[in-house]
Amino acid sequence: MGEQWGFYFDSDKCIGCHACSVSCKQRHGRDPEQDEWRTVKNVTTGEFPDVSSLPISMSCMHCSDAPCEKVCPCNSIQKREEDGIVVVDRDSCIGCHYCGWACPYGAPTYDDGGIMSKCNLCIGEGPGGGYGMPPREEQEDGGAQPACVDNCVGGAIEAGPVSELKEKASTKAVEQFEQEPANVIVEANREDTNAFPYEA
Amino acid sequence: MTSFGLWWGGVGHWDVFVAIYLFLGGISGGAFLVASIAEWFGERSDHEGYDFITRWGWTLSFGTIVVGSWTLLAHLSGPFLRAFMFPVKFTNWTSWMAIGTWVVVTFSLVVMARMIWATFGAEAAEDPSGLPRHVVDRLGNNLLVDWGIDLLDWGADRTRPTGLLRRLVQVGGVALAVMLVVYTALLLSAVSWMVPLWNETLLPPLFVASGFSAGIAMVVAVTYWQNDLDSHLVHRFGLLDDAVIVAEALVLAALLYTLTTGGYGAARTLDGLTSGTGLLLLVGMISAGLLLPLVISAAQQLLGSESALASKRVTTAKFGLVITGSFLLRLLLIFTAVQQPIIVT
Repeated sequence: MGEQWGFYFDSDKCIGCHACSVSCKQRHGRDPEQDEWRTVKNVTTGEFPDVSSLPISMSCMHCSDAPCEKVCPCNSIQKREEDGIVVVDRDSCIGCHYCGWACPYGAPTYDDGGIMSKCNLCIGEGPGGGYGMPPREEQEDGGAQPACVDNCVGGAIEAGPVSELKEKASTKAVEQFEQEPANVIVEANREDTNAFPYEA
Repeated sequence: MTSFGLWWGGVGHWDVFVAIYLFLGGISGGAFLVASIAEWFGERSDHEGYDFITRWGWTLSFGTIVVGSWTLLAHLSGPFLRAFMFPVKFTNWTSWMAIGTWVVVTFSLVVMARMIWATFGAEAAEDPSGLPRHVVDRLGNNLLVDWGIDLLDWGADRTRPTGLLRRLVQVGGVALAVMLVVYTALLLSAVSWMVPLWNETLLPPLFVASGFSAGIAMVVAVTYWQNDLDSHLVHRFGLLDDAVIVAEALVLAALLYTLTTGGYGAARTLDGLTSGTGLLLLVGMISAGLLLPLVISAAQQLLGSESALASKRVTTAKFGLVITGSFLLRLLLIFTAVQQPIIVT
C-alpha cells in the first residue's frame, strides 16, 4: 500500500471566506449556487451570552476505513491502495444514495442525473475525474495542488501524504487523528478540545 | 455552558418509494409465512379453508414482491437500465443492498414456482383462490394465446416436487421469506452507527413481527372476502396476529427507549418523533398498527362471535388497520431517521 494522503485543517487560521469551496466548484464545474464537494459552515459553540462561532471547512475525508465503500452495492466507490484517495466510478453508480446514509461527513452529492460525485483530492477534474487516475503526486513532482489548498487565504487547509502532515501538526492533533477514521488532521489547540471531527 | 457545536449533515437520502418497498417486502415475506403455516395445517386437516389461505398466500406474496421490486427500482436516481445489470454490477458482498438483491431474486423465483404449482395443473382450483390461473386464462382469451394456460398446467404438473424435494422447497422457502424480511431491516441497520433509529439489534425482530403481522392480515382478509373463509379459521389466524402485534409493540417500545440514551443523533430523532409529522406518524402507527387491532380483538373475545364487533366488516377493518400500521412504521423509519452530527469543539 502506498503512502496515504489526507487533509490538514487548522480552524484558527480559517476566516470562513469560502474561497476553498468556491475554487473547488470552479475547478470541478460544480453548481455555483451551493457548497457541494467542500462545505464551509459557521458552527456555533456555547450558549448565550457566552457564544462563539467557529468557521469549519469540510469535504470528503477519504476515511481510512471508508464506510461508503462498504455499503456501495456496485463497488462504484473505491479507496485506492496507492494513495488512499476515495474515488467514484460514475459509470457503474446506480444512484441508490446508500453512501449518503453511511457517510459521517455528508460528502456524497448527487447531480441532476442522480449519480454520486464528491471530492477526489483534485487528482482529476469534474465529477468522476479521479477514477482510474495515476497515483497522487506532490506538487513538486507535477501533481496539481488541490484547489481548496491553493486558494485558502489563511493557509488553514493543506493536503499531502499523512506522514508529512503529521510533522506539521501538534501532538494533540496527531493523537486525535490516530483515533479517528477520517484521513484529516485537525489542529486542536484550544482548551477543552477533544471531540472533532466525529463522535461515533 | 457547552464547549462544542453540532454540525448536522443532510437528511432524507431516501424517498417514499423506499418506504413502500420495505413495506411490500415485509408483507410479501409475511404472506409467504402465512401460506406455509396454512399449508402445514392443510396437510393435516380436511378443512379446505387452509387451501384457500395457502393459494392466496403465494399469490399475494408474489404480487407484493413484484410491485415492491419495481418501487425499489423507482427510487434509484441513476440511469434506470443500469439497475438491471445487477447480476454483473452487484458484486460488493459487504453491502446488504447487493446481498439483499439476490435474496429478493431467489425468493421471487421460489414464490412464483409455489404459486404456479398451487394454482395451475390438472387439479387446479376453480374458486377465487386460483386467481393466477383465471388471469392467465382471461389474458389468453383476449390476446388469442389460449395455449399459454395449457402450457402452465402442463408445466406445473410435471415440475411440482414430491417427497423429500417438496419438503426441501417448503423449508427453503420459509428460510428465504424470513431472510427477505430480515434483510430489509439489515439494509437500514447496516448504518446504525450513523443512524440511531436503525438499531441493529431491534430492527430485524421489529420488521419480522411487522411483516408477519401485516402478511397475516392481508392474506386472511382477502381470503375472508374472496372465499368466504370460515370465521373459525379467521379467528384463529386473528389470534396469531394479535400475539405477533404484542411482540411488535414490545420491540418498538425497546427501540424508542434506546433513543433516550443514544447521544445527540438519538435525541434529535426523539425530538422529531415527538413533534410535527413525526409525532403524527408515531401516533398513527401505534394507534392503527398496534392499539386499535388489539382493542378490537379484545372486544370480540369479550362480547362473543354474535356481537356486531365480530362482524366480517369490523374484522376486515381490523386487518386493514394492521396493514396501515405496517406501512406507517416504514414511513416513520425512513422519514424520521437522523444521522449523527459531527461534533465541533
